[in-house]
Amino acid sequence: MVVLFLTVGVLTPFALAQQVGIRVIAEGASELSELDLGIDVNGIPQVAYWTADNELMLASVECRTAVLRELYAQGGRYASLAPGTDASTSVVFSGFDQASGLAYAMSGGLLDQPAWAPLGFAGDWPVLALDSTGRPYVVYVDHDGGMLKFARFDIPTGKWVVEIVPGPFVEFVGTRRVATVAVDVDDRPVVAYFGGHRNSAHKIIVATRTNQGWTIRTKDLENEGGVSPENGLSLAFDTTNAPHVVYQTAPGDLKLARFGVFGVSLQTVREQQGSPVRLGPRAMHIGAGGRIRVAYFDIGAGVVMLADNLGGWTNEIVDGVTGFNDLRPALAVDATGRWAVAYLSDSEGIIEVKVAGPAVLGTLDGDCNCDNVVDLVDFVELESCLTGPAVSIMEGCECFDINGSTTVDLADVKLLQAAFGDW
Amino acid sequence: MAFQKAFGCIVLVAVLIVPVSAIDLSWEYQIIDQHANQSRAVSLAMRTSSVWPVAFHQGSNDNSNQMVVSALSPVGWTQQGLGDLFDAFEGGLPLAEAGPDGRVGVVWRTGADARFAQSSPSGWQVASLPLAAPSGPDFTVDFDFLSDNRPIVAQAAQEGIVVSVYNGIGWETDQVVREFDEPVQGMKVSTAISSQDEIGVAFVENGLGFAFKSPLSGDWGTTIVDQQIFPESISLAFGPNDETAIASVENDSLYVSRFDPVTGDWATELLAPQIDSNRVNLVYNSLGQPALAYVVQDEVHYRINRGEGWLDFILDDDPQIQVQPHDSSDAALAFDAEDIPVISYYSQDGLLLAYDPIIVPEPASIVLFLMVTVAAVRRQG
Repeated sequence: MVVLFLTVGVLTPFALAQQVGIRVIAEGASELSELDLGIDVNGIPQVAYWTADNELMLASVECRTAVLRELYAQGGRYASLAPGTDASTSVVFSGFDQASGLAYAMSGGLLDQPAWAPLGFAGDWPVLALDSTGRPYVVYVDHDGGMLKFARFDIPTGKWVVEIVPGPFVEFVGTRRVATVAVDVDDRPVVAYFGGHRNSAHKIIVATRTNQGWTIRTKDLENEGGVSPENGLSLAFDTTNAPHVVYQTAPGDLKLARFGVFGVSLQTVREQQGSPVRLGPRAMHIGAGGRIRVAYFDIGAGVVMLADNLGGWTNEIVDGVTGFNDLRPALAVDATGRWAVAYLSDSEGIIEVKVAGPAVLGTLDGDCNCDNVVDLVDFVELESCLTGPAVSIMEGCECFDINGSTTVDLADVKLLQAAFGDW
Repeated sequence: MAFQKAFGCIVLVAVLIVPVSAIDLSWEYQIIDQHANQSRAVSLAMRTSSVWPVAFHQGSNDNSNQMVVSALSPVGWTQQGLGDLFDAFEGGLPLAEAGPDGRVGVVWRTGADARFAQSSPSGWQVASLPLAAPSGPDFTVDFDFLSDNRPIVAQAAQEGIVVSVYNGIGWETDQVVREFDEPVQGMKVSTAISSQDEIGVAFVENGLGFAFKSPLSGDWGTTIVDQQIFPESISLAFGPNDETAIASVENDSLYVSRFDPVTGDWATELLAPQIDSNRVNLVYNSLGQPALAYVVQDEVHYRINRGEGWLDFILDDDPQIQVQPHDSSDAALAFDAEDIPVISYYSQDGLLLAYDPIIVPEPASIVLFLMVTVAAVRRQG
């Protein structure tokens, strides 16, 4: 699939037609499902989502197949995912029935099968982050008290410990995803959230949890367009450990606030286009060289977008989405800098879970070894599968039936040759 | 007068701000396996930069003939079987270590071979290596990790001590120590790796001995540590600066032998005249302080030498868990990333984990105290 290019305002035009693959990794998701994405230490994208049958699923997007694991089967909502450094994947959700509140699920790593356990308290809009040793941190909204809370797993007791996130948090009625958490360069959990007055959200607060307590920084944006709390925010750090928060202003600009040592600087990611966007809590990534990517959903255009600041901000369409007006794509980038975006889409009444991006392997026709290039290595494998038009596909050769004729023949060879990529 | 009072208050605040010694605080307890109340053997290691405790022990109920690993994670304690267990005592005892990259491993004996297991991103990996022959049920194995995370396994046999190193494909074996003049029964061995990847081996033959492989010649040299004791259990450890010590249990008495680089001699001291644990594991924290734990009757003792003699701390009670240990239970000790001691042992409530956490006064309490102090000073003024 060819990704269309979209030039924005005075931003540097960046005419690059980029070819990225898109895969439907699962069908039958719930239209109300949240989903989240991470890339594990083996470079495999992991997606958590809810099915229409009230199952929390974890999809491991491997070469030409998605391995699905059920994490919880008694219904619930929310799904915040974080990959661990031990090749495990963790998901925080709110479960019904047995879970009765927020719960934690794990799969992979040292576990021979997925496991879950309740956190022991209820909350909404949880966001999960893991530090480099696998210590989990969860931020969530406690509607009963209208407070933003922070939970961590206390290893000496084996229990979760909860505290209130300090600062001017205001529970804005009708809003969602007004807070997020991430781990900074020093392995400390940092919470970013909107604050202000009940009828006027105009502050961004960044709160860092240290061993001595909380350190808070606030940026008042009342005179700089304010914020639209219902559109969400996302948090990431550059190599100097400066927090970056992406958000949408009230007039509709997509902005990035950098909390540097000497103050907070703002830059425009995309000027207002007349329609709001939706940002997920895990929508931004900052690479080692300062390259920033942001994934978001343009409600008016009905498209998933990727903003990239390589040489200047560009905003490109990743995929058109039907059937949703409140979608929050999730973004992840692997160790080599390849990105992936996960989102839902309605395909004639069936809700699909889709992932797009160069980190998603096996999206190119003929790339049967999933190295993201169609070349002679694939050709050699095709030769061993070549049987001709009168013989059905041999087991294990399905990938080379490029034209879908149920055989592997010279027609597929021709298509493979035509798809040969750059060395 | 007001100044004196203010000064006194300021001093008190300073005391509060300084982190209180972890040793003096109460312990936190968790039940690792409530069904594991019949066994005695456990070994403990800390995974992922010494953060997550992992216990290796005999399985319970239907898994009683299995070596089981119990690991703590945010979903609680999860268990997995690693393979057959020869016996919960003597040669079948698990011995665990943590590797430089955060992995943990364990070695134990079955009836037919020695087993090594370690954590990995793809789950638990288990490997087998042949027993050094001739062997018997009382011959032990031990292991440690090199700096490149390769395991070194030491085995005792009638013909001496054998050390095996995994080279990525298989095990390379080296004969340590000369062949014994007479067949020995129940040979004990303990191995540890120095900061420079040198292999040390402690063993029992005509007393307590120590063997060390010369990095220059490649030859093994042996030295007599103590000819007066013939321990049933030994544990060798190197500190972060290659401090060297061996803990020994002989006839229920606990000894610690330490090498003094000033005198060039080993010195053995009696640490406890009567303990109930059959074995101990000696560990050093990051400050080079040796420590171990053991059971005496209904108490678990945590001992550490901070340079001024061995301190003795007894684990306190818990209102919700039966923390009194089983007679002869192991008390496996490890340190976490902040040098906080973690101990695993058996009680009537099953296999337990005792953790001595650091408690830092909350900033809010300090601020409140300062406010009260200032108000008091102003009132006096």
